Amino acid sequence: MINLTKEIKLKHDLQKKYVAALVVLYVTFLAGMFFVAYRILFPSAPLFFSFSNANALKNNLLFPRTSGWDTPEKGIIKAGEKFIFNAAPSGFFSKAKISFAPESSADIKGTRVDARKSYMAFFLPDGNPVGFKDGTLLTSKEKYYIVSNGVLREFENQSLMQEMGYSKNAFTQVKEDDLGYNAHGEMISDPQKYPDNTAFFVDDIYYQLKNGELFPFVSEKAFLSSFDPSQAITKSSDFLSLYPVSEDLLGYADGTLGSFDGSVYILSNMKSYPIINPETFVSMGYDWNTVIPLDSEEISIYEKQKTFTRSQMHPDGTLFLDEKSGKYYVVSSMTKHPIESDAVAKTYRKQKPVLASLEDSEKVFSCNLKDEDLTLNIYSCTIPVVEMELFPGNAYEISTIFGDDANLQTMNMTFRTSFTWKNFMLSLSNIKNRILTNYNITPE
Amino acid sequence: MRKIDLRKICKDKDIHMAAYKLLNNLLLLLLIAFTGTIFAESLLPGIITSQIGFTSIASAILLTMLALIWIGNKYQIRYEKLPLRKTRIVPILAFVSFLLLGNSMLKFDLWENIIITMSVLFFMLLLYQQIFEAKK
Repeated sequence: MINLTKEIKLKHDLQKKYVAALVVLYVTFLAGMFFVAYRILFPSAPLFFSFSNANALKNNLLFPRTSGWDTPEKGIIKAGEKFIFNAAPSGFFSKAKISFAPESSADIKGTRVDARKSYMAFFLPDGNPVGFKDGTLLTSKEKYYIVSNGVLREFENQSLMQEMGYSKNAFTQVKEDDLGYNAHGEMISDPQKYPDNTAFFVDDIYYQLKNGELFPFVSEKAFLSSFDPSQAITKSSDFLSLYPVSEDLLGYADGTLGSFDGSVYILSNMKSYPIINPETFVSMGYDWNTVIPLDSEEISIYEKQKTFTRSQMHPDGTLFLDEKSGKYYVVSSMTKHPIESDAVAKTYRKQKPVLASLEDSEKVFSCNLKDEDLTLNIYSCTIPVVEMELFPGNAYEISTIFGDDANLQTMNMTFRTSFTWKNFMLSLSNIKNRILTNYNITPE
Repeated sequence: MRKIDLRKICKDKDIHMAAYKLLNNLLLLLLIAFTGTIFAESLLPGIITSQIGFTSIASAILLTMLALIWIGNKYQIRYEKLPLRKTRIVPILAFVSFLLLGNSMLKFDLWENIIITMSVLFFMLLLYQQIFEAKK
């Protein structure tokens, strides 16, 4: 022990007491250090939701809901109604304790609680299979089509199509079955009347026709995030006098990742979501290699949103790939739309998908609620989550059906890590990877 | 008139001296913890502060220092002030500050980073000398 105050001499009896106190001080300090180290190496994540204060920022259990996305008012959940919420803890955990505190003496003892793991957006309900993207040029059995406002519009004949300026090579060959994912619309027979979503290339700028107006793309890169260059019809400057040119610029394909001034943004529906930190970026399943550098003009056309955290869902346009089946899904309007055809998937594949697992996301782990010791009206149970932690994704979906009307006051979910050598090594490895991510070094 | 118990005064002083010695050790431990926290946080933001806040450590340091100042003033404990260039701790502090400042500006180019870090350290040194050594 270091004596920092040699000049100060204590009486013999007090010196002994001082040394004893010093030992206690050092031991307490070491114990404190061990405690903090234990908390770092074997972390826990306490999550909480208060129904009496549903809008409070400290609520970190996400989207408690029965039907739709609204929080049950005053925590009232009717018997037989499916109650769902999400949790997105940061870390690697062994078990999760879920507890509910109903206001009245509702009997929820024995109720089964189910947990699944994936991405929150991958848990979204399935919608109809999506068709080809607007503006896509397709050909099948010597017939030529353009996808315009969601519907397939056939060109009356090849010569009309070529007269309008479309290049035959720009049309993607597809099977007839693939055309079934878009409704069929009016035939194109007037060469002077271009269908909506046609792309043009005039004076080094790409445009798209929408409702009789030409919308310029903010950059060539933005156009190429959705289309191939051959899909645009090259025109001279005079062409711009035929249609009004919009002041609104078109940006990148929804779901594109862009970087500007040291931040990474998700671009979707003309909004930019700055990702809060590299850990969130990785936890959302994104790949650093897919980030496109943006210039100030490109980022300025987007409406900047609050920082994007792991508690949020992937926005519209995000592409998921179920690795096992090779099937793609695209997120749109709080729905997960499957892409049933390879040809359709090709038109979305300019963006790298987030890898997910449908099979793993459907595996359910359960526990039954019990009375908690030494507490009144608190029911809890623990679910082992070690296996689920290995599944792709960063969020849990918890669901239950109470047999009795439950008036929930609060609910808690605490993720814990067991004190084992394996977890110790795993924590060290995670810390190493987090440091590498922080310094933009790709972990091995 | 109240009678002064000299034995009690002596005892209080002994206890205060013992407390003073202990507080010095506590301050050293807290400063070690604070430095360790700063290093860990610069490597991986949030690793320590997710468990224990900077405010808690800083408050503990402040309270310990206030207690030391109070006892020191009460018993006129004074230390000889060493000129900055004669203390061994300066090169260590300069090196540590260099690493921390450099680490916080990793997004800059290497040479920009080195020039800014060196300039900041140089101005800090000048400022310290102006404040604490100019009186001499």
